[in-house]
Amino acid sequence: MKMSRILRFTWILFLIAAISRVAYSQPAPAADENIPFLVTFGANSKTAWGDDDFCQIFFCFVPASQKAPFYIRVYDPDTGGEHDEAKGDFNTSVSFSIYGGKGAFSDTAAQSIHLKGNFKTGYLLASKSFGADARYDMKWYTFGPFNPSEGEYSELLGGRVLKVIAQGVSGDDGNLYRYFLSSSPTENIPLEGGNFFTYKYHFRLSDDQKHVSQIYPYVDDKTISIEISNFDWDNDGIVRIFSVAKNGLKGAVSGEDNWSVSRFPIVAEEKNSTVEIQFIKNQTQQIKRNNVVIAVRNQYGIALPFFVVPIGGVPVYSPKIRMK
Amino acid sequence: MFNRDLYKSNPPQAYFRLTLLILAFFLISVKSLSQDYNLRHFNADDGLPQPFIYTVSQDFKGYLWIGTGDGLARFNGFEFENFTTADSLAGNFITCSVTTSDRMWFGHMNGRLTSYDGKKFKPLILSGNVQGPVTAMAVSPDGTVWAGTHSEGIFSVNFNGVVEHFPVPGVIIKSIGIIARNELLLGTDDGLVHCVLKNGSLALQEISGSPREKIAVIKKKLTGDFLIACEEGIYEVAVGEKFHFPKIVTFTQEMSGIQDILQDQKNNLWVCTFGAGLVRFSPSNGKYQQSVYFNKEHGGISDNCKFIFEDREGCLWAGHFGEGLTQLTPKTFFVSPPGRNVLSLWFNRQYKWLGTDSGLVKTDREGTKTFVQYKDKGVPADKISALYSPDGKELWIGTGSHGVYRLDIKTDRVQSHISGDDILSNSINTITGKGDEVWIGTKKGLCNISVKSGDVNWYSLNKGGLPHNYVNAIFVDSRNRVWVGTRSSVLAVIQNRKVNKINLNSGNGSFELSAIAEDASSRIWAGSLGKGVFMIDKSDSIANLTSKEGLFSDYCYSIVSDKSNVWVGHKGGLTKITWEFSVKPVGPMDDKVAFQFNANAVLKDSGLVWFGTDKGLLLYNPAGENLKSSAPVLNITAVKINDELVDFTKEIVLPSGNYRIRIDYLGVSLKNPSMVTYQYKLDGYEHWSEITKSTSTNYKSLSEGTYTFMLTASDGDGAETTPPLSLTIKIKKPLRKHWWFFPVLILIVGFLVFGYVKRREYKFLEEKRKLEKKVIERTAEIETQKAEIETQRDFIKERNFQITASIKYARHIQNAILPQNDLIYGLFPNHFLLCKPKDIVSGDFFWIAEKGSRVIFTVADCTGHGVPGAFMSLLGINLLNEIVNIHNITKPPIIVTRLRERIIESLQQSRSDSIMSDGMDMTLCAFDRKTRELEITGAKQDLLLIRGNMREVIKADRFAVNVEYDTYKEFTSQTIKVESGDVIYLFTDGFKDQFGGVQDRKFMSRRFYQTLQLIHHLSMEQQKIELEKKLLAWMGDNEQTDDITVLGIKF
Repeated sequence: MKMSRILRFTWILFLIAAISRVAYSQPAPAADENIPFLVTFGANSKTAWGDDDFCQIFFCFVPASQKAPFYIRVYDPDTGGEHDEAKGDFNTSVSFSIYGGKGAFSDTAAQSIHLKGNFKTGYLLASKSFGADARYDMKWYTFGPFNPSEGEYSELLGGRVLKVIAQGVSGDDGNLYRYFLSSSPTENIPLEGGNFFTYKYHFRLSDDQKHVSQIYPYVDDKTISIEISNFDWDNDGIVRIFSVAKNGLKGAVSGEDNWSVSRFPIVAEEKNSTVEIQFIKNQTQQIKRNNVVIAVRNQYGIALPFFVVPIGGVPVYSPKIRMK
Repeated sequence: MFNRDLYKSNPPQAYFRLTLLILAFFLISVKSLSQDYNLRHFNADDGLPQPFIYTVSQDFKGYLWIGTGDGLARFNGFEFENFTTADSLAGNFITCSVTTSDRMWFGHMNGRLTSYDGKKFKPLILSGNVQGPVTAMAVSPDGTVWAGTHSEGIFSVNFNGVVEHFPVPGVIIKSIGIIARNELLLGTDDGLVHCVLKNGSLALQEISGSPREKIAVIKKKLTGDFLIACEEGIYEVAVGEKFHFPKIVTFTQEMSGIQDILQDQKNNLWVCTFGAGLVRFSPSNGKYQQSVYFNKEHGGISDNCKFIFEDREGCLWAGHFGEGLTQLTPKTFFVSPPGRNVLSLWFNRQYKWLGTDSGLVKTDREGTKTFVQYKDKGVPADKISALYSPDGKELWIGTGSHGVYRLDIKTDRVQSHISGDDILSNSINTITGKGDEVWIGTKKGLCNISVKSGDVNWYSLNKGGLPHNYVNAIFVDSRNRVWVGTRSSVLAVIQNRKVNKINLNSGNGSFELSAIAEDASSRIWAGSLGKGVFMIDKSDSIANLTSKEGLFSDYCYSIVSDKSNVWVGHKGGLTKITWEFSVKPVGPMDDKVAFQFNANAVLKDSGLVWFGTDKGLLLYNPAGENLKSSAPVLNITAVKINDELVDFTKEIVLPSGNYRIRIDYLGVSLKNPSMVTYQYKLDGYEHWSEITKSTSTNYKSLSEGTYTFMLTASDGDGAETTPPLSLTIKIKKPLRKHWWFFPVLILIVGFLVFGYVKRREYKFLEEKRKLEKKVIERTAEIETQKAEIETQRDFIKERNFQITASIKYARHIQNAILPQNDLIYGLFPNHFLLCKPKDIVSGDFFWIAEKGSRVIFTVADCTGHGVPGAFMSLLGINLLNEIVNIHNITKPPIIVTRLRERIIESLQQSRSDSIMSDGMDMTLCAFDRKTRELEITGAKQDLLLIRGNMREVIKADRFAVNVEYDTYKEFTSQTIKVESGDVIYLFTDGFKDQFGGVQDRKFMSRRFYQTLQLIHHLSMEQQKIELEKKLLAWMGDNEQTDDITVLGIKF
């Protein structure tokens, strides 16, 4: 390779590094999950398109050590353009609202799988609705700055929590987007110790059949069984469960516009750890633009949170060797 | 930017250049904030509880209050004091604040309020249902506080603290504006709402035409209309029957929303944004034009500005979101690019002409571009000490040694050159003029040139009478008088070509005058080198201000007046003198640079004042000064009495005594806290103190009295607090110093004494009563005893009588046993016998018996006297009768021995008897009438013989007639031949042992013998009488000591 080409290549890399930083963590979906986008459809959409309630609630965790302002960035917040799913012309408005203060997290209405009651509890810190707007298509929009004190303090989590609600206001298109918890308004700089989590994941599966996606619900010490519910999977592949004690148990996969439920017992080794739920695409038939919803509940019917950065790391199966 | 050819030929070099360019692109071009404002930044390191600022306000004591997400801070100009829920705040997260006439109110994230009355915080719960934050607050003209919440509507708190709730369902309140007492504007998430309070309920009305977006801020203008801030623009709201919403500002920059707006005293509009920082819009032709950014891109601290506040002194406070607080104080001084030593200056609209020490230059108005160097045009590269233009067309140029040049301003050509005869007259210090007249000050005098006629007149020491030839300064005043300052302390005034002189030197020493100016009141100001400035008013009174009065320095190089001040240039700084003679030194304009203000290098230009300094041009912009002067707000911060803090908010009254008192105080000035000075006094006791910067004072010993401590403060601009702050301390007088003390004391003492006496009297009477009672009792007792005693006495008397009668009878018996007088007379006719018993009966006895020719006779003294002695005497007599008369023993020693034996036998005495054995002392004689021999045996009783006139004592044996335990001795005898006339005396010891005489002593043997010797010649009867007389005389009042028996026999 000629020296000039080497120099050119090095220089380009330098420029890219100087100008921006690639998001390695604290995005939602996380890179590890291999989920391309989150999805929220307009209020007038059909559930069969893969969104059961046109509302996605994420929680943003900021550790107590955070003293500087932080930002919640949304990638491609508008409904229109390359990534979003048009149903006819783009006519959808989706609002993004961020709540803090008392009740933002502790009020459990927002943690349930089937939203009931007032889940918009807390103090509305910021809100913006996006229709089809080229200014924000495939670009980052920044909410904030936010004061860590504006989040609701959770002693359990050891930090403060803000609630991010993406809700379809009108229209019937699908808005595909991503989040990033950043310490900078203009760049995706991960917040040290920060995390996103949700109790019900609305997302777009990868179109690539080779891709395997995974999510990481956290199982606490009170869980003795989990119930994995998925919606409108369109029979696109299989769902498998991995943990320190489970090595790829299969779960039921829903069809179109319906829910399917699988239950799995939780053994002692699995308590207080993360379970991995893998989604392996249908290898025989390529299904594209498949939007799905998934949730996990414990034996009490209480939803378990999915952390984009798995608590305790990705689980590794530890087989029990029996001696005859 | 990118050279493809270079790339092809030399790629590394091309890429290097490109990289540099891109790096240059990324380098933020810093637009310095210090251009217009002095900035002072505060963060958590400086004491703020948190760098997220939500609200800033100022209380009536001048303190600045900063609400953050984690506590409330109070700033006094020097330091922060933080408060939390531990200090009774309703919450640590403060979202908004307002100030009423008597207190401050804070809203919290938890939906509660806190009020502060200057002493304590008091939390207030609006309603138990309020969960969300208090989002906005406002105060209506009647003092009612309105608090808007996130989703629970709006609350009012009236003057008495009564809370009323007005629910506004479905509305998120973001801001509140007060139109009138019962009329509000509410800024919501979806536009503006008009509210009218009527009959206890709030009627809401949407306002047509209002922007349908979030109204984050509502601020009332001085005109009464409002400004509202929406997402990306600011509207004016004209309130009337119909609302109008002209948009006055549109933001085109990228930002996340307007957070706050402020219209300052100077009508600038300040806008706080997230993303674009703080932006200032200045009014221009009725519109606002964006003029200054305060954000990171332009050298600011933060891109996220949350709140803006203007304090009472005109300083701005920008609260950042995560970056603390910034104080912005308008600059009044600006420095032009450095480099030149500017000795003189003149401007027109397009250009500046600057005289330096190496020639004249012409630059653009900004001073950045030099157009002409006149050394190339005929003006020498000399010190250009003076520039003057009489008409704007021609410039007169004074040089250091080459005289004066006249320059055509339009063509930049030198028109003419005026020179003197010598170097001194060519050394130009100053040029000025008026109309046709030009005045040139040289080192050799003053030159006056008439431009039109060309006439030249010189004034010097010798010509015209200038005080000195070296002319430093010239000034033509509004009355066309020419004032001349020279190298002397005499100020010259030329009027009608006549020089008048004013001597400014009132004391010793000399100085020179360096600069002259006239103020708007036609007062003349003359600066000197060494004596400060002199002011001469219209009545020709002269005042002198020096460094003692606050002048920066006594050496003044330039002087100029603007509309309201006089500016004096020194080395290192300026002095500002106001019309009221407030003197304020202005230190270095730049922290790192000290300016030397050059003589006479001043120019007024369109309201600005330019100074020529050794570091370049310095611009003073009066617009930077505060429109209104605000004296510091005085506060007493602590009072300690004898080192203990006291509550000084209440009246201080102390008991009498001596006290150490310390008073801490602070004049709050946020603009320039370190320039605040104080004066204080104890009214009536001392004068005002020296001006001091100390914030405390001590009084070491105050005693009784009422003390009013008075305090005044001035800020850096000389604004003084009026009236002075006062604090009264009363120390009570000691009781003794009250007029009523002694009368009361006397009364009290009197009462006490009276009481004491009365009590004593009472006690005495009581005692007396008791005693009397006792006496009565005792008397009764005694009476009883007396009766008893009398009874006993009578009994004893009776018994005594009986006993005495018995004893008297016993005497009869004794006498009967004793030999009768007839017997004694028969045997011894010349004798006397003196017998005087002590009691009735006697222990002494006399016995005589005749046995043939022998007469045996004795005088004996038995043991004891009275009855026991009488018994012994009876025994003795009986035994003698037995021994002599019955047993016919006539030898005295045998008789006495036999007598002893018989006594022992009779009394049953043995050797075991007591030492005091009973018996007798005796003298027993046997007289043989035939032989005339007298045989004498004495048992402890001597015999006295007087023969002739001589006496002889016949000594007896030294043992008595009784039992002897130690030895048994035989009695002896002595025989004497009696002669006629011899007298012998036998006697017991009664007479010798009788007490009496002057010295109450015993009669003693010697005196007894002498007495007998003296009377022996008398008849026996007479001797007895004499002895009795002697005895009585000796005894006196004494009782008879013992029985007395004396037998005298004369042969």
